[in-house]
Amino acid sequence: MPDLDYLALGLKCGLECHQQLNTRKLFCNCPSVMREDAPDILVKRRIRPVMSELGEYDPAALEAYQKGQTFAYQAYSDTTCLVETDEEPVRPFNAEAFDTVLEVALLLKAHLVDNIYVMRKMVVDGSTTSSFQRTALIATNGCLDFNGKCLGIDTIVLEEDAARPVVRGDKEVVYRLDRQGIPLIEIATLPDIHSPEDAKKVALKIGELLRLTGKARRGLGTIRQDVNVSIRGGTRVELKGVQELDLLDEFVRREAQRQAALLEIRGELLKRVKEADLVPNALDVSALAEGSACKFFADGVRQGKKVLGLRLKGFKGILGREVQPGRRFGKELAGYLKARLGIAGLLHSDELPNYGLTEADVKGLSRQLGLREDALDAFVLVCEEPGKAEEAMKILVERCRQALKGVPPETRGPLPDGNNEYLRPLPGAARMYPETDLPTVKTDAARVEGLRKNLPQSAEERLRFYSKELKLGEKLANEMKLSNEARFFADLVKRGFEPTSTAVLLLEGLTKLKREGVDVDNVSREMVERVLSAQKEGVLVKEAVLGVLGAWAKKPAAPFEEIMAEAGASRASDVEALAIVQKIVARNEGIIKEKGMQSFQAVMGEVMREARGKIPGSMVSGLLKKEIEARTGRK
Amino acid sequence: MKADYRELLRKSGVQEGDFVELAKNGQSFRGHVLPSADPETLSLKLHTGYNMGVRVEAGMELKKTGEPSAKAGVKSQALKMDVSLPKIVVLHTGGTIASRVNYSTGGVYASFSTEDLIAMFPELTRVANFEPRHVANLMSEDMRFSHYKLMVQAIQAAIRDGAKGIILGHGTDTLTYTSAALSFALENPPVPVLLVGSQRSSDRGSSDAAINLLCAAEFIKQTDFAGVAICMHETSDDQACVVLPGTKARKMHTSRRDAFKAVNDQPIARVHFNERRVEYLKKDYPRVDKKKPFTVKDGFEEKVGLLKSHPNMHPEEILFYLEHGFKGLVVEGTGMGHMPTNTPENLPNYEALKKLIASGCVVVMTAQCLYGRVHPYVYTNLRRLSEIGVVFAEDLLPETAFVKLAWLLGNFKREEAVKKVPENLRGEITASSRIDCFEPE
Repeated sequence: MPDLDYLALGLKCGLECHQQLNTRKLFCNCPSVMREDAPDILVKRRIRPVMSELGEYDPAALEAYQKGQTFAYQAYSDTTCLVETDEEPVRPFNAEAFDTVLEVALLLKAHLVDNIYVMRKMVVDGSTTSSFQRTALIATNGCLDFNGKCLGIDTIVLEEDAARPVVRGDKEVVYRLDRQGIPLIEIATLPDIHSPEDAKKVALKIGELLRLTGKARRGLGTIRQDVNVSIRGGTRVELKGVQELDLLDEFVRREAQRQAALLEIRGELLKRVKEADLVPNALDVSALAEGSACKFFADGVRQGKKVLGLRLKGFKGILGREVQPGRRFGKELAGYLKARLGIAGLLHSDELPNYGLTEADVKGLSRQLGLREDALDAFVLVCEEPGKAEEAMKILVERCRQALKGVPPETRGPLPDGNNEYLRPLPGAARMYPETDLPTVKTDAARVEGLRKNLPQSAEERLRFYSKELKLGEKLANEMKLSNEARFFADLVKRGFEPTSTAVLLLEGLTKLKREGVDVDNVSREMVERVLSAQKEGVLVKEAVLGVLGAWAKKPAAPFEEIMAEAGASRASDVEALAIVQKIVARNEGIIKEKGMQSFQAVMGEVMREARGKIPGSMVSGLLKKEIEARTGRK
Repeated sequence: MKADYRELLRKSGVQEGDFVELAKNGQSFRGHVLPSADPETLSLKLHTGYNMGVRVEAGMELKKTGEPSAKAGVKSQALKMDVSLPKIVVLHTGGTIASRVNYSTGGVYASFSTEDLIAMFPELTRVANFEPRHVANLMSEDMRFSHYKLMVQAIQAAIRDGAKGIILGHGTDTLTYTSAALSFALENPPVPVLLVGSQRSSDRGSSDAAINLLCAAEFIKQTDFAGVAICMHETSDDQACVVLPGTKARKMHTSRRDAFKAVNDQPIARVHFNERRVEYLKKDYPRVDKKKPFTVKDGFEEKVGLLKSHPNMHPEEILFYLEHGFKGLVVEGTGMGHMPTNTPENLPNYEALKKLIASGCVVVMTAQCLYGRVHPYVYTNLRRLSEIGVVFAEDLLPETAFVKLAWLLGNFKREEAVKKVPENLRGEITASSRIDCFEPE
């Protein structure tokens, strides 16, 4: 499909960016860690549909409940608590997460809400144990500096993440509670983005801004985008949960293409057919399938399914038309059956003869269904259990009627190839009511002022400071500018630690330890600082810093002195250093006498084998030189 | 004068619920006005569903632009009686189980009509015909003995009206006090009376209310048990409830669904929720004794106290009950029933206790360990207490002892009451201590 002129198409795009924070959880004191090891606790729950304010139930939720739908929640006794299992009232906001969202609001020049309500947003899919997601509006009307202009930020919200699905069974869905309660900042822009490239750039820019706080969690799934897309004449469609930032522009492009294609289809259909012509009067054509070579139908009928055929007036050629690269309108239709009934697929006349159906089969079907060539009729076939098959036909007719109107408003899921598929209707106004277990939170002016004074520098400012003032190498500087360690680094430098070696330890050292299998989550900032201080005071030599930190990470509860003693890393006293050098020199007396200063390299190597981590290399070299000179009488 | 949002509303001709446009410092907000607990804050419900509070300041402008949103109300369901199903009377006394949430304010209120109950839990209609009746509406910590009398009367009326059983919705805090009180007040009741509470309010999909209610109803429908019991979650899972003996249960956790445990005893039964199956865990549970009449004694002595023994006790703590004319006092002793009465510093406590008993006050000793029995003889101190007339109450739970003592003193002469304290009347004292009843969580 050709690329389009998106500005001319009237593309409008808004982003909702969700970023996890690496503070403790929002409403309890558990760490925000994702676990891959086996959980040791399993709680089984039923989530009951709750009557709405108007006294009604969500029919789908009620049906699932009555069918005995259960939810199993996996938990860990050491990193999840009774709050996650919905067995204890929540605690007030995590202060660090609250500070972080206020900081983000200030960076976005947004208007802070005076008195914050924590709300309960109803959730019916069991993805939270409480059956609602707690969320709080923190600020409104912000401004993202983008291309020298202000891109409107509608809302900034602090909320809890939901549990993550592990197994989706028919009767039981299994969720893991490690993710539930991790703080999320949600930033929603106004729909003022007009090109796919800009959408991606805005997403990157917001991601960068969040990383400046030093509190953004990193890694797959820690930042998720909902993307709202429409074109002129189209409708707002929400693409839910885009995780691959690199593909974001492509997702926007493909959705704009889809909407443009649907509008073209609409124009074509309006010439051919009226809404009233589309009725779900499907016929049972199972008999035809019996004699057919089509395995799909033959197997289905043997399993007690039936084949329904539906005439779609005027749809010839439309079902086979591409709406996205490699995705035809027929596939699009099938998406609704998949999402709403779990039906694997359908066959339609634009892809026949195929699938073992012969020309004769198709002719027979056409005759039976009363297709008219001159009316450009098409047909679809669905092979399903009785009841479900009829339901499928109703859904198809409904969707085909919408094709006469244009683009249906809906929530769609991104596919790995950049296309997207139907997920569910757009959410209505969220059902929200205040969290009864918490009072409202006043934004304290002094707190806000304190944060305002210490807002993080921009990435550009940081970069300039690192290279100009601190003389960091380019690679280090670039890596540090958006690192979660940046503010810690600035703090250390301010207190007199040497910039380059500090940066190397924070960025490369910790990575190296991790690669060596050390659990670097155990390395606290206090530990890093202690080790750097020891180096600064000359107690610990540079070469031993990382090793000591690694050893400490294995026994984080041990005092520093114990780790130093065990690692034998305490710097040797001058007397000890001299003794070690003299011992090795004595062992090599012969070669020194014979070769003089030329023996230096070999002997130095031997000394370092024994002295590494205890005596700085420069000192060994100095002492050794003197010893050799003393023995050979030469300089 | 402090800013007050109500003043702003009045000046602007706006009422709570109206849709308004608010201008403040160049920002504008639109939403419905909500009642606010803090007068300095104007609360709005925005179209997105979020609530936000705006600090009231001079220069704020408020303009009404729309009417209140449609009044939220429960859709009433026409009730159909199914003559093949038994009748269960549901008595409401308040607490979380009866509470509903007001979605606009977040406030919690109580509701009791049959229509509301069935609208909230439509599945109930498949189990029985329900008849809710209002007894009281209060959080259970506010219960007084007078409420026990009201409940007893309501239960008598329900039995007269042919109920197969009674479900009593109750706040969980003092639920076991009430279950003990009803156990003593009702002698040989012909039907099961199940106290049901909930630890998570029913505005949440994760509420335990529905399962507790449905399990109680299933149990009533299927059982030949007659007496007072409690029906609550067995574990944190929504899989089963347990029916606990009314005089041997205790709330052991502030917030978990499975907070209620049998102490020094076993649950009577387990009700499997999915299968709606009753599994008995006890063989000798109370059944109706047709040879004996159903009698009611609902007197409760007002002046009964409960005192926890602790280190560094002062005699004033004991003499208080003497000075104020208390007729009974239950002590939660340490260990097997100790109080600090032995050393020179603690002798005044002993003297105080002696005086209290001499005044006619019945002093009953229970164990603050909860699990296990008290014993009047093992240690000298125990003997000293029993010598002066402290009544040792076997494995009676302190709260049950408190209720029992009030009931005994409200219905019997002092001597008879003293005699009955260590006797088992309603399953509150076990004949021998079971080996398999110690698993505190």
